[in-house]
Amino acid sequence: MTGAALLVVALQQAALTGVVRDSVDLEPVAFARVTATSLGGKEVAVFGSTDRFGAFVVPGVSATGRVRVEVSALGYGMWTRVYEALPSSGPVRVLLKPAPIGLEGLEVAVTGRAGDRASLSRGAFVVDSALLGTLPAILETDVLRAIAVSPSASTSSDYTSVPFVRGGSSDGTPVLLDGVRLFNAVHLGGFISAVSPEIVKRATLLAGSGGDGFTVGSLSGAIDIVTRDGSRDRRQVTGSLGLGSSRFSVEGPVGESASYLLSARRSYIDGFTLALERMGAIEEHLPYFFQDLHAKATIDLGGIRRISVTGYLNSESLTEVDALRGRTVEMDMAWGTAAFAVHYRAVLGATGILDANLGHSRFRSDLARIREEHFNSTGHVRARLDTTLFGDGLMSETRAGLRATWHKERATITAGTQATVSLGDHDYHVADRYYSDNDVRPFALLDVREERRRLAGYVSAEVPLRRGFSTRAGLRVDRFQGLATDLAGFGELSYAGSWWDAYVSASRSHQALTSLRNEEALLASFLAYDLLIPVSEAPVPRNTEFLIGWEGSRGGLLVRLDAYARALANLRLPELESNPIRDPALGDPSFWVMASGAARGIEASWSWTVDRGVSVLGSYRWAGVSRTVGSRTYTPRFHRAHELELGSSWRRGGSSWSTRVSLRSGQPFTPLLGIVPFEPYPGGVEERVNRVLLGGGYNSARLPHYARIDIAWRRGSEVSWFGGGSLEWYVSVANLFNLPNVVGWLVEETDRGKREVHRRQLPMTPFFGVELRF
Amino acid sequence: MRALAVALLLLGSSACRITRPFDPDPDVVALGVLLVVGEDEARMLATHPHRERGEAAPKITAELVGPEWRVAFSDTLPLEACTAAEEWTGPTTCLRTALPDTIRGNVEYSLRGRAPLGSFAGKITVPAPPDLIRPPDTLWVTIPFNPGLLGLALRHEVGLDVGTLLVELLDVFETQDDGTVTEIPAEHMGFSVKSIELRESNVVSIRHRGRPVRFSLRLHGLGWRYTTFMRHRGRTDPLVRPWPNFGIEGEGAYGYFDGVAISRRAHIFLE
Repeated sequence: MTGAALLVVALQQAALTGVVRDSVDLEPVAFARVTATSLGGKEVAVFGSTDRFGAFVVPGVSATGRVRVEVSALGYGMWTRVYEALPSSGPVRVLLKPAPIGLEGLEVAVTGRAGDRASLSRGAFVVDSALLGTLPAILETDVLRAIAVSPSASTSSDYTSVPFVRGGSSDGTPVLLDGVRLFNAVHLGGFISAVSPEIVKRATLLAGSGGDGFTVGSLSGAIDIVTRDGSRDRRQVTGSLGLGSSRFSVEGPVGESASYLLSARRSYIDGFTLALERMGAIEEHLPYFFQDLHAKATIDLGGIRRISVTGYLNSESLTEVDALRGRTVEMDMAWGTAAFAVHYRAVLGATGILDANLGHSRFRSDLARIREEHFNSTGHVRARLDTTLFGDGLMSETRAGLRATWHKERATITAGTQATVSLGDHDYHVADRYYSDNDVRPFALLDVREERRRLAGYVSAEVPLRRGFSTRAGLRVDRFQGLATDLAGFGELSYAGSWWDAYVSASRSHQALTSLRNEEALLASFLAYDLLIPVSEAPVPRNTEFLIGWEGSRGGLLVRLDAYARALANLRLPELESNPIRDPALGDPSFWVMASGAARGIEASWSWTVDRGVSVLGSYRWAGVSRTVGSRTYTPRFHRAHELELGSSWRRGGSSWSTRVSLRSGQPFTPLLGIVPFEPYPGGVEERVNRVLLGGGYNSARLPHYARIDIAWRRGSEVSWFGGGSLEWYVSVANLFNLPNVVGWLVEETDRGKREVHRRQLPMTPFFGVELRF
Repeated sequence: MRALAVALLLLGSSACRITRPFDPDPDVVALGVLLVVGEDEARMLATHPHRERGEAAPKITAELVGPEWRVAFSDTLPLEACTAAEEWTGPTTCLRTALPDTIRGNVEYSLRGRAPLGSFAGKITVPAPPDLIRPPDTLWVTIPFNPGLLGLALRHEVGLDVGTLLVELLDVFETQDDGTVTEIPAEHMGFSVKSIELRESNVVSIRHRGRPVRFSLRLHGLGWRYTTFMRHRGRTDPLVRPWPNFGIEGEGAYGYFDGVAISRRAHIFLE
């Protein structure tokens, strides 16, 4: 009898599907909470949330009788509809209206927000366009720098924006642009990201290999950048004129159901410094520029069905121009990344969603450097030209994936498959004779090529349990062609209380790509470029991690605490035979040896928003990170034990102020214990320098702590140009008090004896510009 | 490629340097002890390498322990008796001790002592003297009238405990055109001391001026501790701990302790 009743109930239930969009530009709204309440008899509510494309499926809704559907998202007004019966004409279309907040007679414009960045996705940290606009700009608004606010992410210096996640190095955290890996997603050596903020809808730091990071299949999560769909309501032009570069984008609808977005950016450091040189302000200009171009087309196929195509192209160039001074071209270096991604979404039955992805990306470089060499020929100093460096390189990845998600009443089940082809082909020649032992070299001699295929299949399920408990688990099989077949998985148990959640999880992941970067080299703190190559033999690098966390929300305050422990195995790292501070930042992997790593840490993040236009976002983390190469275990040079980030913004009227405070403990370095002379045995030592520098244990000391305060001011104003639009001026100052932070140090011989030469972090630097929208 | 780095750093390396004096612990002591086979005394150089020369020399207590004897470094000699090297720029002291027995090869000696920052100790086995097989005790060589270079073949055997092999020319006497015999600096022969390979044979080039000349030749075998220490000279970056065995271990007292053994002499006559 009970079984028959259950069957009847089941037959009377259906799934509510739909898409949530911004009511102005029709952009999909992710992380919105959907509540469907059956109003016939006893009110029974079921819940769901929108995915990254704004789609939701809420199973278990009464198929008969009245149903109230409520949709809420941070920064939007509540959307409510009451249906006499569950809509049968297809997915519900929800348009959320951005909600202005009235305060003390003032109206503060609030952009539609995806949600609180710490609470949106477990283990994830979300950066959206609103956060991007409130953090002080370093040169310009930067998505990767914003991600470093997360307690899970750290950058190795002020000069690189590439985050290192939970003790992993950057090669373990791919930057994904609409699902495709973007190699070297930075410009200017790593100073700014290569993704224009104009196109970013949301960037999510997936700090672990479980949960949402499970499908990526990397060692240290991922940075998942989702670009905006083009505006569906009208054509818009936005852009920015900054100190170092300008960017513009145009977007708009195509017919009723499609949109486009086209964005371009170019720096003018070359032209700016050339003008300064011609004015005599500087001796030599910097013949460098970067540019990037992004295009996206989206077609809404009805309901939750859609297709989008993303194309991306960037390039950088450092070329000494001959024509200006009539001298030989000294440098001809160009490099850049291209990427292409297609995403198609379809419906699978009543409760299923099918996502198909296809992507390709590649990074090319072509470098040549010539220098004039002076030599003595029969008493006359003559000059000749010689090539000191030349070579080219290619990295590429082609990825195809298919994923199906079924939202059942008792579980959400995801199954998918991925095929990836990775290629690394690097061939660089460096003339060693032009470098002394004391020179810091960017490259080692390299000639490596490796191509590897990876086939993966995975399945995961999220199952609600009783009394507030729920569980997520997944299993993944990776076939690394010619290497190994590895099994990975994750499991998570969580509890949701009235105002707090707690969770514990364990996960394992693998990754065949390894980096040529030597993070112990000083130059690695200044140049973020990476060259990746698949490992040539088993075993494949592996990550195993455990996480326990708690988060709670009271009023405007949200706090999240995480503690984690990770073990990294089968890493490839350079041997620590000596002090590698002057070693090339990019080394030859044939000299790399099998190594391991470990990390453990405690992270806290909080956000606090009060109804006075004030918001505070902060994070603190303590972590211990180590690498073991051979018999030596050391703390990697990029690691800092303590990091505190505090961002705050205050908006009043058309102006906003924001600050960012960073306090960090010092990076490790190898101390110099003594400069010890030795007595040359009579006549037997012909060298000039008879001293030996004795250091302490590798990276056993710490540089002075790091402190930096950035500040920014923005002011927007409406203008009537081009039919009406808005301008927003901004001024920011990095390292406001010019605090002398250091990134590393070398011992150098000067006229006054040996000196410690500290390489300084960013000094006080002002930036300014204007962002425009028409 | 340096230009690439400099260019890309933009705000980085050139403008962003903070230079400050090297400021390590001033109480650190550098020690140098080299026992010479056949000598009946031992000397120790000790300095505060991170202090100015005018400051007080380090206060060291040290003793050398040999087979069935133990002596303290109790005498202080003028600095010139220990070193002429310019590198010992700090306040330096030259300590000496007389030994009850001469230093012998293949014998173990140990050093122990106390420096301002702690104690130090070391233990070595002095290498056995190199066995000079050729040239024999006396060798007569005919040289042409014109000045030039002469290749002198050496054959020798050295133990595995030798890390550096030196050949020394000494007691060089040249017969002048008027028949007088004058002692000349060994450097006139091309070198006075020269490092040669550890392999069984070497050929050294002797410069002559077309005049008869006689000189002595011998080999010096230095131990691996001194050799290893010497090999790290000139490095700009500090040598990372754990260091190779330099013969001395201690906190705040760094340096080397090793031995050197000398072969028999060969007398060479160039006529």
